[in-house]
Amino acid sequence: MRRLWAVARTTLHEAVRTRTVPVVAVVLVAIVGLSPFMLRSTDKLAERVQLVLSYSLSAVGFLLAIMTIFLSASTLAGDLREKRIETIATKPIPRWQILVGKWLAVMLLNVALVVLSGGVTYVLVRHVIGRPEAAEDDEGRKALENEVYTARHTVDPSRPEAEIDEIIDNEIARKRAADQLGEGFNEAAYRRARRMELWISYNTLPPGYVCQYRFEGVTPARPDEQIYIRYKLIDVGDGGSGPEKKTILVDWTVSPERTLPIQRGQKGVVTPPQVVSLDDRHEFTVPANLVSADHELFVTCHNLTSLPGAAPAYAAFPAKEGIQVLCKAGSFEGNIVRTMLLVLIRLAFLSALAVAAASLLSFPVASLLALFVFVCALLVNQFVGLAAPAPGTEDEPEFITPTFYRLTLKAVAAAVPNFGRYDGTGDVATGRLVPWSLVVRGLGIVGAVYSGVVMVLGCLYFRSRELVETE
Amino acid sequence: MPDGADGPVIQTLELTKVFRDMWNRVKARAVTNLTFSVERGEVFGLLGPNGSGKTTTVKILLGLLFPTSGRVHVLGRSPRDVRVKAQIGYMPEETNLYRFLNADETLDFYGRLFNFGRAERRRRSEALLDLVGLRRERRRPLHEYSKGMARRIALAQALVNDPELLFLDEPTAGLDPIGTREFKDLILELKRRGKTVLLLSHLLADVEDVCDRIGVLYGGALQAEGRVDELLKRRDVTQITASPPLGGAGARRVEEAIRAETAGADVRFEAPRERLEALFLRVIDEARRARLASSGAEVGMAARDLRLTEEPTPMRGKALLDKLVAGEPEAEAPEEAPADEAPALDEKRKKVLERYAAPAEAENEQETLAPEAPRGRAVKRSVLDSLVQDEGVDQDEGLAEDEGAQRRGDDEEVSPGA
Repeated sequence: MRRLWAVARTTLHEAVRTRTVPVVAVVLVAIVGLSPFMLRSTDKLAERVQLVLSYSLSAVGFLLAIMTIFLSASTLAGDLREKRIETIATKPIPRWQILVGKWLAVMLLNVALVVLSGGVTYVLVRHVIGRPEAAEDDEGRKALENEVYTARHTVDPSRPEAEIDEIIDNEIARKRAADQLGEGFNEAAYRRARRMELWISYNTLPPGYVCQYRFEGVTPARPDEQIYIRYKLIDVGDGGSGPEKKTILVDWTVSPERTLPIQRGQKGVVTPPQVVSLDDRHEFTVPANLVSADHELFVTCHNLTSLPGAAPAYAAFPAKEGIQVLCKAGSFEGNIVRTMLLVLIRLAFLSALAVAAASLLSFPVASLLALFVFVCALLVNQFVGLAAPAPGTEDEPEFITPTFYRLTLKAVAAAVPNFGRYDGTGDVATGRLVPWSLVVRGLGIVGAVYSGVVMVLGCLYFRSRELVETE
Repeated sequence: MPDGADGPVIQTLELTKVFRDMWNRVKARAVTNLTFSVERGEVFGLLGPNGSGKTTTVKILLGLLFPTSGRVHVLGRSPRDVRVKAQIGYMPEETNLYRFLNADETLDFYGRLFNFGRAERRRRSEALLDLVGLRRERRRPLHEYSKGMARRIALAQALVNDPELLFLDEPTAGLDPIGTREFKDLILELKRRGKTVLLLSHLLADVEDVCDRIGVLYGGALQAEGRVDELLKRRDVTQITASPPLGGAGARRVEEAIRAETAGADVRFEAPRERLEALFLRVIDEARRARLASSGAEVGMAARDLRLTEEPTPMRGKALLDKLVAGEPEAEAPEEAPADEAPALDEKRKKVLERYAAPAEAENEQETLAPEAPRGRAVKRSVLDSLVQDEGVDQDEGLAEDEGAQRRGDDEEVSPGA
């Protein structure tokens, strides 16, 4: 270990004395510190804080990734180019320790820089721009505490696949009985089209209708606390004529059972009718004791604009994050720590990749390769989306992307880690829990498997290569 | 006993190295069927013009390049074996060290690569900095070093493990004559201690001065090999020198005697020429004696830095270094405070060191004027003695243990400062 540490120590000296790290540290602090002035300001303090958090953490992650790639590649490539490796490799140090020592040094620097930038971000947000007393009113303070300075577990509604399939089965049986199917009836295509129509209609809320969602796995920490229901209704009517924002009159029923309406003696709450704006995100709280023993909760929204005197409003819940139940599951501080750990895990992979690449390639080529992989890792979700069958064609896949590109995208998506999956920035900014399970999974898959594989390959190649450039 | 003690320290058999491009086409045939060996305790010079394959050969011997065909053994093993690397030292032609580190940190770094403990690293650094005359410059980053100073720190890193086998690639390139002389003295001292040295140099005079055997490479093949004395000996001429010089009558009588012995012999009388190196060193010495020039700018950085020539007496220098490397209380120096005054010891040590490292004081300069070579060798020997005490090596690695045992054995055979 003394030999490995010798390499790491010298690499640390190199990074500090060549002023790489001091400059990056100053830039990091500047980026975070100036972020409130660079962002478009909004009226709501909670949104401003969310923007600052989201921007700062993203920028820190990106800048550290770039520094990690260039520093990791340059430290080994520099030793090879300047022939320092000749005096090192002729000493009794196994070659793999040279690579691992370099990686270790870069990661120690990253730990210091992540702590610095995470600390500056936290202090800036919590104690400078996002102080509760700076909020515009009580509602703003509440929003800040409930939507930013918290870590809430998020539950999406369960899709009623069984009910939808049952409806389609009945429709087909009815048509068959009435002999209405006709020649060349394609049952799969019919099912696909109807499934999509019914899901859209399930999320649609015309005047007088209700939408009921079932949430499974709702686990509040204590029964006496509040749980949060966050939703967004979008306007699916004719768009209206005036520039003013459209609104809708709704009430909500929340209960542990699928019963409507709630009978006397049954558990559940019905909120008073309220006018809410469309296309905005809203949130209300209900007691956690409404959750059933099976951790289920039923949330029903009733469009009251069919009532006399109300302007009819046609609305729908977006398919993604249209409605969610949130339970407090941790602290904002814990969320920041886990988010920064995820940043470190991604940096560990990038450092291993750049060091391994530099064992084979010159500095510019190695760093460009690592940058390319970094960009691919950020875009894996998009690649997967492009390579997937068109929505609703899962049974008989239909692809929009040509086969060659689709296969290439799939191969790239499989070869690089999915950084989007192991990124807590969006969640920490919106007060959603970044779970430890995500950190552990990231550590295992990105930190151990992906980083380990590239490092082992790099070490194997470095051990077997000649260390003198031939002229 | 070190590895490979029974056989040659270096042995190549039909060694061939072909460089290929990325399409596997032959780019250059650097070495072709090279067979040679170097015995323990030899100073072997590998000579050849640029592109003759000598650097390629050495880099194969160091495990940095791999042979295309043929066999290579260094200390009885593959050059890529870390046990071999624990016993070799390499001073490359170009000083490729971390320029942002200073001399202390550089030697500490290379000491760590040998798994030496902190105290051992410090002991070796102190001794090596004295040996190469960089004590005063130990805190300066290497990018501020002159070429001569850089060569010295490169040598120090090559000696950090007291190697059994030392590879020196153009060690005197860029050095002034005084520095060159010191290097050659050091090589001879290493040889006296039973070390093996493989020397690559373009400076044939240097090779001639220190090498036991040489090999001349050209076109990747060995063109000539043998003992320097034998290769350079002219068998068709007899040289007679006389001191004091013969007068005209004496010369005539000698000539007649020779002609009587060998009819028609070509007999010449001339004063032998002094070597330029010896002349240079004598002039500098006389200049110092007359206090005409003692600054580094006038006599060269090396002359100023290499304080071996500034020692009041060899024995005093030896005693000082022995104290330094043995870690004895500095207060035991004759004129210093009692040994039990621990807080004062650092100060005392500093004073002793400063006195040792400072430019020669007036009274010392007179003493410095004595012939330099024996003193330099004596001090170097004492420093080398200190290097071979390696108790600080971690015992968790068998190779280090064996190596240490061998070094302790050497200690008994060599009388320091002799």
